[in-house]
Amino acid sequence: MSTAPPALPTEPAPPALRAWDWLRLLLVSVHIFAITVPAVPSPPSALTPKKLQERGAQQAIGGLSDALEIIGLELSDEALGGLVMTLANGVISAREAASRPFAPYYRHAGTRQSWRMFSRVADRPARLEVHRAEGEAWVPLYVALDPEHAWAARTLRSERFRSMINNFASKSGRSTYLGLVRWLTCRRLEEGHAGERLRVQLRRLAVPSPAVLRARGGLIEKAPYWVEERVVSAEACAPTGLAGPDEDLELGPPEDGAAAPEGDPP
Amino acid sequence: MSEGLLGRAARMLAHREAAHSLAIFRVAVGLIVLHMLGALIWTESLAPIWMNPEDGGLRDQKVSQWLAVTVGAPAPSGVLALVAGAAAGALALTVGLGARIGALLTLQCLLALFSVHQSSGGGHDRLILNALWLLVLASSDRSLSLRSRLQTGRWWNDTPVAAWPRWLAVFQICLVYTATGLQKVNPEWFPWGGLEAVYRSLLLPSWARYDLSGWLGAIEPILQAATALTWLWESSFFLVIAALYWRATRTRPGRARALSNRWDLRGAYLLIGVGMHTALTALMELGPFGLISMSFYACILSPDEWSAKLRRP
Repeated sequence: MSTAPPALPTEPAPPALRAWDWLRLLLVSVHIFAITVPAVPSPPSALTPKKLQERGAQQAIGGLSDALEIIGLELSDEALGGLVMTLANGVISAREAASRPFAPYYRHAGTRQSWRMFSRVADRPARLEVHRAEGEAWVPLYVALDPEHAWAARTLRSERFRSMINNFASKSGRSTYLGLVRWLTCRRLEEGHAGERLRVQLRRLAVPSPAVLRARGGLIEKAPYWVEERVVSAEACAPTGLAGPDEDLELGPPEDGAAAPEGDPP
Repeated sequence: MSEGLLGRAARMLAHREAAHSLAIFRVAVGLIVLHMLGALIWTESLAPIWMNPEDGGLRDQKVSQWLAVTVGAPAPSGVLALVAGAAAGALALTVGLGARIGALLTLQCLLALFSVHQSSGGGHDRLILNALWLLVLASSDRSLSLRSRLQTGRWWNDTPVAAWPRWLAVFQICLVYTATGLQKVNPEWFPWGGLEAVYRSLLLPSWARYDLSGWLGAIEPILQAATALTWLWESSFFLVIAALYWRATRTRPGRARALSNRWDLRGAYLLIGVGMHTALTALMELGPFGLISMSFYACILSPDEWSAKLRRP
């Protein structure tokens, strides 16, 4: 005849969950959902057939196509491009719809971000250059990363100026650029250089392959763009007629939209 | 009767622990904000970035954020009020007195400031805001704080506080790294693009600290390895959450759990992170991104671990 096992000492039951415990779970879950949704990987903006023809997109699709081939999936670049476009645009739409209810939370707690950083690293960056006229020649005052031409470098190389100048590399933020030209002119005026001719421009650069860089010893310099010349004077320094924030810059987290140019901001 | 998954989750979030990890995080965030604001003044970029042209700014600013409007930004008095408010809050965070109010004040002032000129910031601005919001939610000044010193006579204080804000900080930094890694899909991050991403990044005039074009081509294999390591490390950073879970459940079976606990997977990820951010900070001007990222690491170590490492008997 079997006997019942002796009763084991039991641990005291945990206290019952209170309403606050459930509410806290809800709020923490909502927070996690709200910050995760905008970080779901996708292109910075909707893909179009035209965007798919760009060099970077073609390279990415070619790479993906090669990778798929390795696992036995063969798709033409055209078909794969269409599939990528449909999927990516679907993700963007779903992400925007899912994050819309959290707009006030993002606005007041600063919690929205996509964390798209250095997702595309430019091979055609640009550098800011400031020159002054000396007779018929232009003498460099400031050239980005050049320690011998470092006028106003403490400000121009500060991190916030760099973020702004980085936008100019993709020809974004023209209005802000003109404001920068005016500001540089004012600075020369304050330093007592009235009458001086000043030229501000962006120099397009090309990053060659490492092998070519080894042979050349430097980046490939291309033609300048956004070349602006001013005579340093009170008139050139006047703040009248300046445009406001650039319309081509999205008023939102830079890594989310149009303001994510050559080399997304970190 | 079993409580089910939701019940267990609700009970887990009620967990309390000493505030040491959150306190170190708090001090780091406070110092980083103070450093950032100091750098704005040192580089003379306050007026050009945030004020209107008649006050030395680059462009007319359009202001719609409620606090920016309230204090009158981008007028100099408004911008300076926002900087002063942010600095006062950051000081409260650093010393640990009224830390939640300090975090809220700094958060709102920085939100207002960043809203004035949005194209002059970066990911670090948003990560700082995230950190501040978590510090609004956390009782981070229970330890390593003036509050603790005044209330108990001790800097280190074992009074338990809610643990979930620390866990959210861990989730936040894992999300940052994993999301940024998974979004790096362009060819330069992969073998078919030559693994040139780090090489190219270090040559970008916008971000490079020095002109490295004279010799960077000579260390191509190292830069390729750094590119691959960066992508793998970022994309798999969510494993830190798994490592923490395995550590909390170390008595359960499982090969991955045993391996992670034997080698402390967290340590490997944090070591690579510190190395990567240090190298990037030395070679590139990315603002306080490296510092604010690494400040979150404080929350990956538990209060007990910090206590064992730092506390004097």
